[in-house]
Amino acid sequence: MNRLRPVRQTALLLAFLLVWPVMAAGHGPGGHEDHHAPPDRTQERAGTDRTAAPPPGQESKALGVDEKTGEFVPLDLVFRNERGEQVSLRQLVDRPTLLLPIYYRCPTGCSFELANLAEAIRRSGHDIGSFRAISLSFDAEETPAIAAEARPNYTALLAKDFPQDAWAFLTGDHDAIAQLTRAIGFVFQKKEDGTFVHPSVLVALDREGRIIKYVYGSFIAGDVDLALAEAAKGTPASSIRRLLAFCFPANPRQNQQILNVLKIGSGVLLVAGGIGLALFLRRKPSDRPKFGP
Amino acid sequence: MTMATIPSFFETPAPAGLTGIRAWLLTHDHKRLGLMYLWAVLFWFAVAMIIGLLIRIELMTMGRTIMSAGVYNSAFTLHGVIMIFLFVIPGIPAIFGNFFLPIQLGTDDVFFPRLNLFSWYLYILGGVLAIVSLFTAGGFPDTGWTFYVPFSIGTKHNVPLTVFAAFVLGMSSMLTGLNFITTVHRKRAPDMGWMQIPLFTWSLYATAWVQLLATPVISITLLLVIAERLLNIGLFDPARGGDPILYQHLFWMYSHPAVYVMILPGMGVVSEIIPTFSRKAIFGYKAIVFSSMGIAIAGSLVWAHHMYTSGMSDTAIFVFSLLTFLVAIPTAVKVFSWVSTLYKASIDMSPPLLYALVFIYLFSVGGLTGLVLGAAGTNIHVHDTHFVVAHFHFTMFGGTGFAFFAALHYWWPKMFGLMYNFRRAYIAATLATVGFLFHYVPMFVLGLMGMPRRYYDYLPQFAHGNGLAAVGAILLVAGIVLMFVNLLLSFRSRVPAPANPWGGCTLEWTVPSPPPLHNFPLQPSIQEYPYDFTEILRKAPRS
Repeated sequence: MNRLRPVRQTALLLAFLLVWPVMAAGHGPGGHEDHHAPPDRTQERAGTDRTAAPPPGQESKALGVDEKTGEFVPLDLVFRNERGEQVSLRQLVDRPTLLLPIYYRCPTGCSFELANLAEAIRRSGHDIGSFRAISLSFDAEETPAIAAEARPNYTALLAKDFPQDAWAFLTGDHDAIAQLTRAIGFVFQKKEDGTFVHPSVLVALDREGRIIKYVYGSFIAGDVDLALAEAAKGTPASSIRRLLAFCFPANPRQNQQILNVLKIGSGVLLVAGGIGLALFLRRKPSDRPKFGP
Repeated sequence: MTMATIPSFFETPAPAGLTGIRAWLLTHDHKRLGLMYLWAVLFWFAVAMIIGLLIRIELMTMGRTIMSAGVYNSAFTLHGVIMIFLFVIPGIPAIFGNFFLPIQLGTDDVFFPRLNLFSWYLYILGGVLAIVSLFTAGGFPDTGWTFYVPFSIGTKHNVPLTVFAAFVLGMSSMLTGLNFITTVHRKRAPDMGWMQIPLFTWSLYATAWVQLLATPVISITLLLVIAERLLNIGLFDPARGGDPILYQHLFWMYSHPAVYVMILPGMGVVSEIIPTFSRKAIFGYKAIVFSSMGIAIAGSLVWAHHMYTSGMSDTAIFVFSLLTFLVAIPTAVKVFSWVSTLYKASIDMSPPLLYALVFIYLFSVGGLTGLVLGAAGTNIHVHDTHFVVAHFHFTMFGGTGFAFFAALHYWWPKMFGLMYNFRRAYIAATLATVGFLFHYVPMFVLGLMGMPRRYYDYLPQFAHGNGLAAVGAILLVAGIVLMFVNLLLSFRSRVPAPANPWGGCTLEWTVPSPPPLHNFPLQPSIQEYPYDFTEILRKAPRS
């Protein structure tokens, strides 16, 4: 019998376990960066000048949401609505408000989130006038014209008598966007191709601009109803997770190297399994132990 | 009868010479291992049931009743993880499969008795790890039993340890599956052909293949999650170019087939009980066999129907929706076969049959509401609401849970050689069923009304439904407690059970209750057809 001895088997296994993570870690997207450390925000800021920058001196935050439940958003910030008019948050946040940070030209998840919000508003048990929805583009390159173009796609899902000002489609300049996203702890990242990787999250604010709750992912009408009820009471509540908490450009080439590692790994396993099976089947029937009573 | 004089497996340790607790902890005997699983599984079931009751009490009234939102999140995760990984998946195969699969095949033990013991230790280790993760490093994860990344990757809680616990448990059930497959292939009684294998064993065989082929996927996925969290590789994290949908595919590639791992053995139990108490050959033996294999195969191809809302392509949604409907066919074949068996049969009512009938009813409701969720169009309206929770509990609890109770009542006399009180058993079953309906039917309505799941609080319009559900939950728990008390009281009343108390015709009813160490003192004779009641009816005094 030419079987590997247990000691050798164990040694091989240990060697594999030690080598694999190093290999895998070195093959992350981009290849040359150190992926053990959180993404370097300074570099991105210098390169794209568009992300929610952490305040100077504060440790950089990883992509995602750093929840600030109970804190206030700066209501003096000024944005432009879909008609190109300047509006301050104070003008808008005069009742329980749902804030959805997205960008209108998003090729993937944002349109889904906006449609979700429209559907949730349509099915909501709350009176339309009792709350307000704000979709805010965090892409400073987007203009009111783009927002105006996006708007009918979603308002078409709502009732015909839905008041125009109950859902604002905002765009803004870099500073205002950075201040607001920082205030809600929303950290996103711009890719080289102009798309963004960002958390998909709906933020409920009360009439004073206090952050009441975060609802992640594919929220439903019930989530919105409960968030609005809590916002009306003004009591900060714990966040809710739903499926798919991130919106990201679907680009399979981006993680090609990781997929290659997986492909090679499964290939090696299949070949090893095949060899093992071949060796097993090659044994003569007479070698097999006798079973049964 | 000379057979009755042979000492039972309780009196004969294996390996010989072991005494006291060691005779249990080091045993290779499949029957002792089955009982060791029984007590361990029942312990976890009790824990998760109490947590479930606490969740329900929290939802009894609006606002905070007994726990905060954070504790509630941990409670439903813990309830889900324990119920799924420590009760539903291992329940029937590990307890009744271990005990009865070798006996139904006419052999003395499983193919790898030591591996069987090892699986039990893995099961215990996995359970302990899950509990340890509760008390270490920032508390229990609040991700639900699906451990969805990237949230799992971002959360500060102790996900790696819990995920590792799930991995260890997956390994345990995979090894049990391996044992069953090899036993069926290599250790059947020499003159038992494939179409003479009892249906319970067939269902375990189909299940074992799913376990063997699907569990490595979740094991690898969970290892990747651990690697991702500890080494930041970038597999699932979009910030590093990873793809969260990849995780969902991998997770459901295991977890959807696992749903059939959970239900198939339950269907096997019912396929044993229905013919026994109908005194009649099961309708469509071969159809049931092939539908078991059909469910195992088709069930492995429908995983992505859990991901309709995650942004898949329309073609993929269409294909998975269609495949999902296909699974309904073999399932319906089984239900129709059971009902046809009962048709014009001389039915003998007994507690196991009552549980089996309740199973058929509850499982059918669960299956039909599954179609609502399986169809992409209707899914959009009810996903993430209490409708999903109700459907899931109808199939997993009304299905597997009640099949488990049926199996417990059917084989209890064989396992312990003791009969239990029928009257109390009927009361308990009725109480549990009524409680079940009052508990979960309001959840369907609440879901259709739009009540989202995973909240410790709700809006005023959902108050009535939740109040009703709380009453149902209390009745349900009362029924289950009474059921266990009744079974345990049989140890005190010690009414001995005959070898064949029900008039069953599979091989376990030909050996003494409880069986001797090697199961069969003589080579058993195999009936040409496993559900041939001619001999039983000829001997029966009533007929």
